[in-house]
Amino acid sequence: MALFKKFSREDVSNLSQVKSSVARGIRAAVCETYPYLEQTDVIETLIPKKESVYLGKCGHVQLCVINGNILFFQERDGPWLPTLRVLHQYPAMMKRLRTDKGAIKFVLSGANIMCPGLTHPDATIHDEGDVGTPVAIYACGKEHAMAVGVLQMSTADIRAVNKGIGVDNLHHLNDGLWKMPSLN
Amino acid sequence: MADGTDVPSTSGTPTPVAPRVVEYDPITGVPSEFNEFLPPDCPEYKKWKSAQEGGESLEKLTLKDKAGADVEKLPGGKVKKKTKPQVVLSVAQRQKNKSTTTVAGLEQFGVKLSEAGKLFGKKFACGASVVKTASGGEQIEMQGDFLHQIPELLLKNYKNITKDDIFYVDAADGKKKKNYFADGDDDGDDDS
Repeated sequence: MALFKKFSREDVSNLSQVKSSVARGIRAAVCETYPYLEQTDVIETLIPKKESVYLGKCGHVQLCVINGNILFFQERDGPWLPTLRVLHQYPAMMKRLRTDKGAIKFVLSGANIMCPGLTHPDATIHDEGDVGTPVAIYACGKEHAMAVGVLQMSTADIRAVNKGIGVDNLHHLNDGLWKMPSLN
Repeated sequence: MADGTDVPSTSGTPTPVAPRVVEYDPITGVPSEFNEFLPPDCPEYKKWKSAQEGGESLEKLTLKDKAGADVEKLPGGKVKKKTKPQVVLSVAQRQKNKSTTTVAGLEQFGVKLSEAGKLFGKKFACGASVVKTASGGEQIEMQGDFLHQIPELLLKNYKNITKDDIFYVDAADGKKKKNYFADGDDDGDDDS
């Protein structure tokens, strides 16, 4: 279900600077999930070694905030996912799935991506992945990512079973998190 | 880890990549290609739609926005309860025939609570402090029952508070009435 459906500054209960060991932990986790960032050294631009990392807590979601900008978020102990603004800057960092046009308006209202939206003739599964992999959701004919989510079924299963939720929609354009790119 | 389709194998030295500069639509804030797909009940879509239709409807929309500004607060679509600024006074009982008076909502009028608390304490020769409420807001708690003296003080000291803004909680079911003119039954906020 849409994570950031209602989300505002007041929902962030706690914003504190973290120890450098924790910051290194986050950096390492991000690099492991997105090797692209390490190979292109983008990770240094996003999470510079010198900058202090702040962690915002809102319920079971944690936000990684650097220089006031929210860059990554994490649900419970899941993978760190980039905010769409970051993803737009570095589109090659994540695996891509492309849905058909009809799914767009549902995705932008927070709906999860169902298998038929990915097996549609207009849809493309650009990269393969297993359950739990973070993916970027694009739409047929559109240049930019519209959502970020986590695979609920492996791409092979999506093709085979073609029923049920394929990708969990965690963050999409114009949701609460999109409208709040920075925290004081 | 199943990976390696897109990403080229590293040779060791990282190759720098410049961030893509993405242009977001000036009205809606999302990439322009998605403008028409935004959920129709969100303010960005409405603004974009009216900009499409032309200048006239844009004016109508701004008027509506102003009136509706009270209603919609949270991004992401959910309507927060109307925050009509009100000062709410209530009296609670304490041990030994003593009571406490609580004044909530002053900060909505730009009043510094710590100053107001001090003022109340001085004026009424009582203990007054600022306490946090369960929902995260703050109110002034005074030792003693000053329900009827507070409105006068508020009106005298704070010019931006009017008679219509002061409410008090009466009877066990928490009904709110206007403080002047006992029978003015205004709608108070409900918490849902």
